[in-house]
Amino acid sequence: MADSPAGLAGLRFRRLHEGTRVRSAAGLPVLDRLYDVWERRDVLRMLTERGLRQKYAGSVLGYAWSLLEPALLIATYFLLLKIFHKSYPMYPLFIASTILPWQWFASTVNSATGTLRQNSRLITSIALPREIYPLADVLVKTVEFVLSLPILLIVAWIYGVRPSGYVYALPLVLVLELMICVGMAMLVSSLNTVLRDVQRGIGIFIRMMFYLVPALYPLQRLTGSTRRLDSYNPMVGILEVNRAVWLPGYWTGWRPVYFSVIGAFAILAIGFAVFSRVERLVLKEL
Amino acid sequence: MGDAIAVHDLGIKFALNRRRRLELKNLFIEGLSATGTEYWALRHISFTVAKGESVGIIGRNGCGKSTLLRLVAGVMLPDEGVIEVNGGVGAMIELSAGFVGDLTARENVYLISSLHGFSREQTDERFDEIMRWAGVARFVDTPVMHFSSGMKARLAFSIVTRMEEPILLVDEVLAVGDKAFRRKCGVVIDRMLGEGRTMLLVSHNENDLRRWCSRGIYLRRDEPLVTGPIEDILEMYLDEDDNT
Repeated sequence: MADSPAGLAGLRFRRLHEGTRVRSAAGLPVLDRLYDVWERRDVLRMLTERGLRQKYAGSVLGYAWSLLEPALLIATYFLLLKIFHKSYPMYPLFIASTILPWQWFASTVNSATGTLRQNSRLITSIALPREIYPLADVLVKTVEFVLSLPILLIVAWIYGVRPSGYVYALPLVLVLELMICVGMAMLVSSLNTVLRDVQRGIGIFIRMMFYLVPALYPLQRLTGSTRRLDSYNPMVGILEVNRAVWLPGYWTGWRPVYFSVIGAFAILAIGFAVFSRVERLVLKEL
Repeated sequence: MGDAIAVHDLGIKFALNRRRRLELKNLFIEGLSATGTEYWALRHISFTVAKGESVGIIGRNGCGKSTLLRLVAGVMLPDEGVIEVNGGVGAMIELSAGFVGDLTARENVYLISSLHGFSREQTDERFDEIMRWAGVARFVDTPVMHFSSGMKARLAFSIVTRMEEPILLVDEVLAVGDKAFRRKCGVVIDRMLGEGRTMLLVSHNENDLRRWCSRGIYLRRDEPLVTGPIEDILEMYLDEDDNT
């Protein structure tokens, strides 16, 4: 036991020796927090399983929904754009290649927004690293994304398209997208608990972003200020690489990808910083 | 060091109007603390609990008992002071938290066990015993949304009391359930204390407090806390309760 509490400032949760935990008013360094999460990775796995099971529990179609959902989405946008007499070569493939990674991002943000509130009884009764809850949401949506990929492969097969050389850049952009998902999940889950407006705002924000990113149209369609806006959007580079893999000859250059790299690291850092900063307040509000 | 729990000059404050509107500016510049009117729900709280000791926290509704327990459990973070916990903590707060209605009893047992720190193998070993003690062995594959609240409470208690942590934090969980269940729970608490575990108990039930606790902590709003032998503390609490 320290002589003065002031002397303990800077450590809140550090193990002094075997089994001892100290909590004080000071914050905990990010690395220690990540270590705590890593120690409880079994819980992370369990919560991810819970999320997936819950989705399919009591549903007649079960896993088929993971394919049906994106398929119907692609069909919807295809029809919508047909009404507006807009079309591009191999349009279903055009949409499929970007809509799946977009849905991964959008559904992660949407489900992470309310996650701390939904789990409030757990959070206030069992001491687990709070980061686990948004992280589990990210994992659930990542698995769903992977499960939806057969739709893309089927559409590509119908058109007889093989992946282009950009497929080698795919792992990079998928990792970047995962980082963005994690950062955004940390950010919106914690902020939404203390600022109720987040819940409403984020839905609209994501929807606006969807029409502003080149998911339904090629990047060249955008000019002037919207194009400039998009050049700072880290999702653009990710979507462009995804499309370049499946559409022969489609490529708009590496520039957006640079912004994806910068953006992914920035969002990840901001997400963790805000989460740890807001955590104390979050626990009081739950 | 013989203390299982050492609390030093602990304080936590809340906003008077919980539904305050936070401004983004405050959030980042002032670090989330300086908004609106605040009050200290607990302040200058210091006490220790020795290893193997069982201590009861007594006080009126709203005096901060549950908040104090939650701070020790680590599900809330203090604004002031230090809490030192020496050994693993098994928190029995809101037992039925974590049940997912859509999932079966089996799936829920594994889920909740893992939240409380059991590995899959450990749960495998205990599974039958957990179901048997709770008296719900027939409903292994029934979604728990069809369980009564009593069944859920029994199942939760059955899981949680299989924890091996040396420090137990118990918040009114014995208040649920019928007489037979309470008696069963009592036997389990007796056994756990018999194993030399440390307990911090929040309760309004004098009999429970007398039965298990040797020492009491009397928590009052805006007044320093008093600790002493459980009988003295109970007497003090009951006296003051009568006088107001």
